[in-house]
Amino acid sequence: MLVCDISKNVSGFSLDVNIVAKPGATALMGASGSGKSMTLRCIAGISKPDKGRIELNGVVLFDSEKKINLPPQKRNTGFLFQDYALFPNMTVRQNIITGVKDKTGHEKQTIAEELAETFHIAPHLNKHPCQLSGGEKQRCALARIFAGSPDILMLDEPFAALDSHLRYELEPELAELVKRFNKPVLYVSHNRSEVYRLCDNIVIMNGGKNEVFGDKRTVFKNPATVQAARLTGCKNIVPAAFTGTRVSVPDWGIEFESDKVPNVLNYVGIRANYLTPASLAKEGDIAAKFPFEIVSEIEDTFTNILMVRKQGTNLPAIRWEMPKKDRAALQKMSQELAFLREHILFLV
Amino acid sequence: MDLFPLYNSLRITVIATSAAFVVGIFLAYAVLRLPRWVKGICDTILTIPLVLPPTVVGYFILVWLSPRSLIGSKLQELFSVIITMRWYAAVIAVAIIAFPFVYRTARGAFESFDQNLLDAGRTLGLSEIYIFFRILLPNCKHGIIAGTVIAFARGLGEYGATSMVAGYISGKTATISTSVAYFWQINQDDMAFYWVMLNLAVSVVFMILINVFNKPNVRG
Repeated sequence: MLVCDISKNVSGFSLDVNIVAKPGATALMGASGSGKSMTLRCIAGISKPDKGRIELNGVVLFDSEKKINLPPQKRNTGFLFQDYALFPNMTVRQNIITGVKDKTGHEKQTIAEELAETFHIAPHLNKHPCQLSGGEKQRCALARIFAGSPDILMLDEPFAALDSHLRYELEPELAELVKRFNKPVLYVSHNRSEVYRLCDNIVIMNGGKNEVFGDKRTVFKNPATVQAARLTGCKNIVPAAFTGTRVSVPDWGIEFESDKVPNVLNYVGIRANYLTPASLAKEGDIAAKFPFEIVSEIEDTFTNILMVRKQGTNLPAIRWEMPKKDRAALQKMSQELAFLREHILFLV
Repeated sequence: MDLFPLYNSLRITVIATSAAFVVGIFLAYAVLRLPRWVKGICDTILTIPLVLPPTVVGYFILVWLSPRSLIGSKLQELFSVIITMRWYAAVIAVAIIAFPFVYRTARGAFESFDQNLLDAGRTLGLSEIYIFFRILLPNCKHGIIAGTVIAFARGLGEYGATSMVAGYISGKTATISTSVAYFWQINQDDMAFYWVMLNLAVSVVFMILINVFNKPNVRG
């Protein structure tokens, strides 16, 4: 288990994170510059926090009060860099061997060969990194990390450097690896679907702080903050006000009653694919509905994206995505848009 | 024909460049880790021989190391060593003149080196010494070798500081460049011409070697 409660100031940016990661995968999501990579670097010991404490499986890695700051060499963390950071002057074999600790030369060779077998790069053992494809590089970097049996795995956007078809090929491999690892895994990514598929828990980072922390299903269902809603893919987020019993959303031109509104409410959101034609919804589920007009329409690969607003108004457009067959069906329905109660996100 | 100046020039330059190579790389690595403002000051001091006229470098060596100076007199008193007007005085002069070429290129190579590779080495548990010799240096070798070659070329042709600190003593401190000047001054134009041609020949051979060694490596 990882307990990390640290703060650090770097030229105007302040990092202040408090996360606990149990065995299993925890995703760190956040915009660029929200402190995700910095957090990983502090845990690995290649950046030093100003204050706080980091503990991994009962071993104190950093404690500003007790003046403990283990060098990265002694922390036994597995850090997968975005560009894999393979040593270009060494072969795949030599690269993997650098990760093996406390073994004789012959044992190192054996371990490197076994790992190369496990990670399907045995035929490339004597090649240099520049001769490898993106996927092979990643496998080589992972083999090198696993050679040291790390106590935690930190993956910094592992697929960012890969073509999209390779991502889909490698993702199940990584998922399998993460599942068998049985120790904490921290996973930095921008891609919400990837995070949802690979991780159990999600930490949402915003401006150097961990804003939301929770089980992935809970966070996606109820993101609670604007940043979390955005990062989990909610595209319609507008200001809202709660007056006594009614929520009013001026940008959408709707008002509705709700008993589920939290104490503080500044914004509401709705996912683009959760909007529905009013004629398909049960009356009791609808929070609000109105006749809509289409401002513009974009055809995507498998969906149609409609930018709509309340008929006869100049309000900002709402993004509505639907499968192409639904778009065809919509032609024959009454042009009314419904917001379902269960799908409106209340955000701060 | 007395080939001593050729031998002396090569001896001086090889020793001086080797010293500049080791010290230049070491200081480039050390300066890299300093806070920004200290770095600026160190950088200026370490690069200054590059912009100064060699005679100024020679002047400082004389001021600090000649038997009349504080350090020089102590050296003579304690170890009976006189530095100036010896061939090894030229080693010091050439090393100082050649140093910035190694230092600058090594620093540039270290600075543009992907820091993630060093950090990756650290998280893998590799020692700082291993990281320096097995990861940083091998991957920066092209830049450093290029800088060293220029340092060597510059050292081989050094005249100003050498003539000040080592003078021209035939068979003792004479180098190729000081021979040319010496023979010209005493009106032995044919000897001056001979050393000029030899100098040209050495330079051509050297340039060919540079181009042979500077072939871009496939591995990059």
